Amino acid sequence: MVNLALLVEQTVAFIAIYYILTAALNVKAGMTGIPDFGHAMFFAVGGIVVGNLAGRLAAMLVAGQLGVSAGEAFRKVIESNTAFMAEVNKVLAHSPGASIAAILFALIVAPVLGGLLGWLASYPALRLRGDYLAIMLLASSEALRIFVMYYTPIMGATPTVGLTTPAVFDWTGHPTEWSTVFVVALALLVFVYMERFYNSPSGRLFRAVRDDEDSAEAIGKDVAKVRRDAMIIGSALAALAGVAYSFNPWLAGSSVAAQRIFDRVLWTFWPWALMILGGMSSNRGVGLATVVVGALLIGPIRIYKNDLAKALHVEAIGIDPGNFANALEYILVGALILAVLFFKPKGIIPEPPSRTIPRSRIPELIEEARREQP
Amino acid sequence: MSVAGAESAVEAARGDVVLETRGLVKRFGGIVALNGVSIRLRRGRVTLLIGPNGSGKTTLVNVISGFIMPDEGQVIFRGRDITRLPPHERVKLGLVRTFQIPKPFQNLTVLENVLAAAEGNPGENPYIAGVSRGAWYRFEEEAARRAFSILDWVGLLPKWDTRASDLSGGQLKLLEIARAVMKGANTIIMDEPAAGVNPRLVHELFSRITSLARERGVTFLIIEHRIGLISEYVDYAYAMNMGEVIAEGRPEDVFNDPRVLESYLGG
Repeated sequence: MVNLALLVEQTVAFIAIYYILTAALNVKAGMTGIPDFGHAMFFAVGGIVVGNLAGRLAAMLVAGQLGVSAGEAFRKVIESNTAFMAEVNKVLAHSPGASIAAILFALIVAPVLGGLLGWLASYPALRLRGDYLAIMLLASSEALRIFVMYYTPIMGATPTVGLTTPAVFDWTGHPTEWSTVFVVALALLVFVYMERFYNSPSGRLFRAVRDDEDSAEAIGKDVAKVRRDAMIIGSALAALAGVAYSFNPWLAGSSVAAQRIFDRVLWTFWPWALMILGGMSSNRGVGLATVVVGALLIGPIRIYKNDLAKALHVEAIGIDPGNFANALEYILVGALILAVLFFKPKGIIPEPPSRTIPRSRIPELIEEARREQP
Repeated sequence: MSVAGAESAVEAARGDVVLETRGLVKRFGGIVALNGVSIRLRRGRVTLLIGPNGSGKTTLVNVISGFIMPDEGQVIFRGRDITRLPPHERVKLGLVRTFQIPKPFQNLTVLENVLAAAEGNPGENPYIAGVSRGAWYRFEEEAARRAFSILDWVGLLPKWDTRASDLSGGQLKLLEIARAVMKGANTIIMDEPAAGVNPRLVHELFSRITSLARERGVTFLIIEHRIGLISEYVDYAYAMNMGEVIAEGRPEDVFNDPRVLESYLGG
């Protein structure tokens, strides 16, 4: 039996997270042409900030009610995470102040740290191009994953279990609903920001550098700085997606684990696929692709995949129905990408110009320009 | 200032040396692409650089514009040694180049291509651009007005909203000039602007170039093979062969110099 309300809510939360994450990738790869195959590591920063830093902050804020000192609370979040965070979360359920403080803290700190990591990663991005850079970023992300998995002070001792997250929405009484409202609001904010950014001289500059670096140098643009800025902004936004994900009980559950937040399929491959589908560099295309794929494919497929595999009788051609069901979303998205690239190679909504000036104002400007010759 | 006054001021300043190279040497492995090249560009003049393929013309342009560092020698621009300056720093001084094969921003429109060349746009600070529109909108409108007027002047105004990838070869050359003018260039180096352009458009292009030089004192260095078409627009010429300057002077003298003819005939 399918709980429709639950399906819709989960799907909406899923779409919101993926929109933020894909828009973040779009700044780097779509607009500026940096092939970031290590996108997951910037997403992971958000998870680490929530699990480790926001968890510690929340614990310290409620330490008094648990009868421990703030310093003790700070240590215990990592040392005896599961047991201690269970206590912390019980108190958080009645502490809107501490909960909101933890949310705001994560919303500010994660983009800053994500941007910092993006800035670090931009140094090789200045020297390398194309596939070399792509592989370098992929390898960096994997190296960082291994490090975080086994360096226990960051994400705890068990890479697959990770850290219990602070339950910052429990005080509302409807944590799943409110955490969904939270991610949707965040995604809408990011969408509006991206529209404004795209239609600004900076959006145009990023796209110009992507189209031709020599030419950009030749008209006096600092290409190195543009690539660095794109890495910083894109990575900061990716960290924001990581925060939205980690606070969401629908998607992350009650904990964040290093293995999952660094997952290169979920947080690098999927955003790439969505960006290519929607249209490289096209913010509205990215938004539309996320909604379409999220609403049509992921939600329904996760629920009906086994029924579909049965109905198609895949075992008749020697395919195990279980394996088929598990691969179904990849098969369908793969087919969708092929179809879109074949019929609309620039994506569902091809990249528009950066409209810095409203179109309605253009005829007047042309008139004025004609009167005063250069 | 009246137009006549401006023109006489420009006229008075014409002839000063704006750009000078001193003994430039550039080797690629065993090949000496430039072997002690010294040239001078004078303000408001159109200087032509000719020479057979492989004579070092494009290498010279790359060294002057900063895309290649020379092994020896200096590039002096308006009295300042810019030999080691990166390309975008040279552009800020007003030294702008175009490419042999036009390199527009393919996915940007004609207007965007020209607007991107505006200097000092506060909206190009990515950390405020998406947050505060007010911080840059005025500048942007002023830049757009200038861009439209330049596009009108080069004859590309009807194409302002066309993607650069949809322009013809000749239109792309005009776009490169428009970008250079937008940049506020005082010295423009053009690598084969007439290549692949039909003769009528070549004349149009060069009459715009000479009007920029005469009326605004913009200095030009132009590499060109189609000297028959353009000799009437040129004030001074250099000929290169095997990485060296083999002749210089008035265009018709250089074209008729026996060494130059010999270099072209593959002596």
